[in-house]
Amino acid sequence: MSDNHSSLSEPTTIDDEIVAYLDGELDTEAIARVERRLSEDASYRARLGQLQHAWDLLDNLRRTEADDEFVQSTVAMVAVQAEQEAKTQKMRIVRQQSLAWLTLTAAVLLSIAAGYAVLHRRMTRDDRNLVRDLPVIEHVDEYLNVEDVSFLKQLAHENLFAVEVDDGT
Amino acid sequence: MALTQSQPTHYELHDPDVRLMLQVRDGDAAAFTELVLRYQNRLLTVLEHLVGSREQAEDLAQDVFVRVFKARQRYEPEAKFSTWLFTIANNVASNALRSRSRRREVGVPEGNGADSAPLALDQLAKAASGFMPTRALDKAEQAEMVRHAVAALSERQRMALLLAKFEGMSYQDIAQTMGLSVQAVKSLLSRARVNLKEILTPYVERGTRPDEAESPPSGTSESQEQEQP
Repeated sequence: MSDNHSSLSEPTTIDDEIVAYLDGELDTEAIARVERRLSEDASYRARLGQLQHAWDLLDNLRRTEADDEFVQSTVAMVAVQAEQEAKTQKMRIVRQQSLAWLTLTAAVLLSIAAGYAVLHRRMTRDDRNLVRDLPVIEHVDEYLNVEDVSFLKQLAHENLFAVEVDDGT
Repeated sequence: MALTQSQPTHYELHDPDVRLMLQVRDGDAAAFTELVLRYQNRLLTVLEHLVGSREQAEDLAQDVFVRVFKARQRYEPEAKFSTWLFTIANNVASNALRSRSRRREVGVPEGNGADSAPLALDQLAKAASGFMPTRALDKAEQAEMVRHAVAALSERQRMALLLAKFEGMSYQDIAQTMGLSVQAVKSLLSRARVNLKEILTPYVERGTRPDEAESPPSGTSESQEQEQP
């Protein structure tokens, strides 16, 4: 027995039960109950007859038939829809491709900029070091002849060679 | 046992329309045309009786098919194809009827082909009481009478009734289509058919119909409903 039928085994009203019986939606037990009552109760039978008759009168409602143009116009509408979808899809693909190119270009530019920055920093640092060491470099020949730095410092302290010392210290 | 993508679902195996829709998913335009051909009349029938206008029903039906097409790439067969299709149709129709109600509230005139407001149940029942002149019903009149009786139902009662009558849907399928419980569907259909009986039985028994001067509508039977989703 399906779950559907078990939920219908306890009708709320007589009409609910009769209608469900007429619609074939009652379980075996409920069908037996209805048929037993039909055989015993004239008013119940009359009620069923009226409900069935009203239902049969619905056969008077006409069934609509589409004309030939309906299919054609429907298919045409759908074709327009398909075309719009294709356009939207194409635009989406173009946008995605553009975005991909932009991303790639940005990545390349960033890489170049980063590389330049690193290189520039390294070269600048080297230059800075050279500038800082320039006084020493200019007198490196003299310094090579001096064995002890403290001797130079003593000379600077006594201010014997003021002009030359300024450059070295 | 867990299903993998390579294993067909129950619906794929047993529902040929599901297989067609899967072909649509794979880009088969002919499969989509075939689905339109199979379902156009069924969809139009339900929608026309739901909204009361052939012209609007055609617009809504085309809207449904366009939505089916738009949803094709993420389609997964988790129900019968007809259940899925009419779920979309139910949503589309509900939105349309809601918009129509809002337009009525602000006094926007209806366009050509729009349905007149449904007659209230009490108006139809009163007409059936026999105070109106008698005339033999012919088939066209009977059809019109039934149409008015259906139009007098609430939107949900009408939808459930149309799905049961024209699509032969089970309570379970109707519940799935309308997003309701099976018990709620059972109540809906019961009330719908009782209302129909109350309106139609006197006409059938006496062969009478209301006079041409029907009173203006005073609302549908929404207040009579106590369905619990």
